[in-house]
Amino acid sequence: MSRLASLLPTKPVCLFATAAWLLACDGPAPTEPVNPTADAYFDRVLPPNFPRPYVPESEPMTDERIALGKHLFYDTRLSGNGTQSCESCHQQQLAFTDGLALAIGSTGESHFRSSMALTNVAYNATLTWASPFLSELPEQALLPMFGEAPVELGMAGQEAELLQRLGDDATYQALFAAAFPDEAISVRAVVLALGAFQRTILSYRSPYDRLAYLGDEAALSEGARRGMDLFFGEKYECFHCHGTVNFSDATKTANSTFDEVLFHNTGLYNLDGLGAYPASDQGLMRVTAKPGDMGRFRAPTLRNVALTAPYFHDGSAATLDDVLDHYIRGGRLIEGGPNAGDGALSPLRSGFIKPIDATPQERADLLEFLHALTDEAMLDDPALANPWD
Amino acid sequence: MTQLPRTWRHAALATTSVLALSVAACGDNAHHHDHDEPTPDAPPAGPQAVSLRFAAAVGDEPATCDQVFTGFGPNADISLQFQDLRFYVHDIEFIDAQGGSEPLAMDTVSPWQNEGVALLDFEDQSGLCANGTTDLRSIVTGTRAAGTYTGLRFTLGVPFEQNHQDASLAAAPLNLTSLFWNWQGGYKFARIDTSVEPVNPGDPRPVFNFHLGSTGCDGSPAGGVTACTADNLAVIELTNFDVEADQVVIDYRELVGAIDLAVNGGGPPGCMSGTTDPECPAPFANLGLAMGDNSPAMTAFVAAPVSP
Ligand SMILES: [Cu+2]
Repeated sequence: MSRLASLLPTKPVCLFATAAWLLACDGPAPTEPVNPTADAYFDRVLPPNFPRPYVPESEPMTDERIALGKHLFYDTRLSGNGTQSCESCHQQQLAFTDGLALAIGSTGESHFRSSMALTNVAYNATLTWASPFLSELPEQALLPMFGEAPVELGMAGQEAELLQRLGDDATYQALFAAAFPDEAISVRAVVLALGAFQRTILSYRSPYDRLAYLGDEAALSEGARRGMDLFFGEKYECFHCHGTVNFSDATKTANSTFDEVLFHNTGLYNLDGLGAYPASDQGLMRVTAKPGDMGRFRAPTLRNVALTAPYFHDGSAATLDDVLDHYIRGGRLIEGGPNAGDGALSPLRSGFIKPIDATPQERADLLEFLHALTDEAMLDDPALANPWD
Repeated sequence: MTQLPRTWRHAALATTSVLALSVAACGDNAHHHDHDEPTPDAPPAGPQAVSLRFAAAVGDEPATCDQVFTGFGPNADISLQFQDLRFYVHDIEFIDAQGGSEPLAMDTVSPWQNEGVALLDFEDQSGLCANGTTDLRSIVTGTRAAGTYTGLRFTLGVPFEQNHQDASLAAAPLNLTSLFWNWQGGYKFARIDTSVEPVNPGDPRPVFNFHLGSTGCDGSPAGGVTACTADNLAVIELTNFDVEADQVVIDYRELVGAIDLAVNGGGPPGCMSGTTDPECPAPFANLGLAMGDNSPAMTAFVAAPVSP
């Protein structure tokens, strides 16, 4: 329980008998270098006892950088053909994802993965669905901007054009001058600003948060309360991969003392009886080339999960009901077609995934709890909205 | 670029053969390496400034963006145009007759050479090379210890330490976004992309992208990439090479051989260094890079005299 303890809220949750066994009330002292502008931002926004994200010292979160990043995030000039912005795949009303099974890039090319929600992306220990080493938001932004296989924003080789477009705009001249007073407009400045803005996409106002961090006992319905017990209990074991303040084990906070890299094969596919995933996306193995990394992906946050359908890395589950079917069965059975196979029999499947003798009431309660993770205020927060409107 | 001499291929074949132990293997070719052995007691002189010349070719012709090249594929009926033609080199060494080597101390030349890594650039943004740069670069400059050298060795690619830096912070020549390869946490060592002429005009153009880079990379959020199972750094050795008279030529015909550039047998179109991509073993072998247990002979780079 040691690492969960360091990542979960310290005080109020200890009041819950139901979850107290996995929590400690005294987390370790912060050891990471402080980032004054980030600290100030999070102190201003987050409840006092809500764990703070870790932000590298080299990435200040000034209001000026956040403002610039927000303009860039919503600007279609960041795509080669001017048709897409970051927002195209990360829309506020959908908790900063796009509602598609597979993302579509600016040239119409389909991605092989589903757009990830950006909710609480500041807490991610690693970024994207499956990269062991990509952990900095500025560096990650290079992928959608300049990646070519597949094309997303389609800016590869056009960095001079991009800087020209921005430099010609009076709004940006002022925004860059304020955010980076001593620097010329550069790709580095663009991605730093995008990172600063993305760290403000914070979910902390859900009914669950009102209970967990504000002690509002009435915040959850009876069903959601029962669902929470199931979620954090040994029968369902959801919290093993979806624990921590951010409902993902791949979480890093300002209090984290270790970088733990966690990826899981959940038995979605088993093409060959040996656990093979479709060639179109084999998860972490695509990067590391290690056979044991077949089908391993980072557990995404479940905050706002009711808004982020369809689910899984390839959008292959249409609804939360389908997701529960998969986990309750202990792996997905695909009866026919090119991806046929029984994920429950995959030797690579995580040990936490096993058949569960679920009752209809439990399913309903779990669903109710998952809906209690929706932060309605985030969806309408003007601080996160398109500044060009 | 000037036209390559008709004879360069002949000279090249001899110079690249690992078995060509002496210039005698060049047969009747009056080769420029037929000079005296170095005098053992010659006084060491100071460092020499060196300009190592590179060229890109398709057989006997210079490879350029604005031209159609013919005769590719198993039936020699595929025509193509380049869309990109750039690569990085490092660890350049000159080899003497005794097998010893002296490194080239690379100059810092913005934006082409920095910290021992050089970019060679044979696309000028013309034709289909739209995402390239107008600038060209065909030399690597530096200094080496005075001496008599008979051969050349260099590594195609970016050294591990520089390959896995944060690309958003990198200095030129590692700041070109079209050479970023972020999902693998590195760079495209070589980017040689071609677009195949369709059989019927107006049909979609198949592309054959050759992206060389390290794969199988693992690491951590804090430490970045710590190791790659396939670094795919090709050590290129040209046993007969005189920096005064010769240039290093990459021949696209030799690189791709007779593979069918118009058909994607699997993975992305062309070869993006995927270990299971059916279009990868041939160009990898031609760079002398093993895929599996083989130890192929490098043929894609050759030494050729610079035309007068
Ligand atoms: Cu590629």
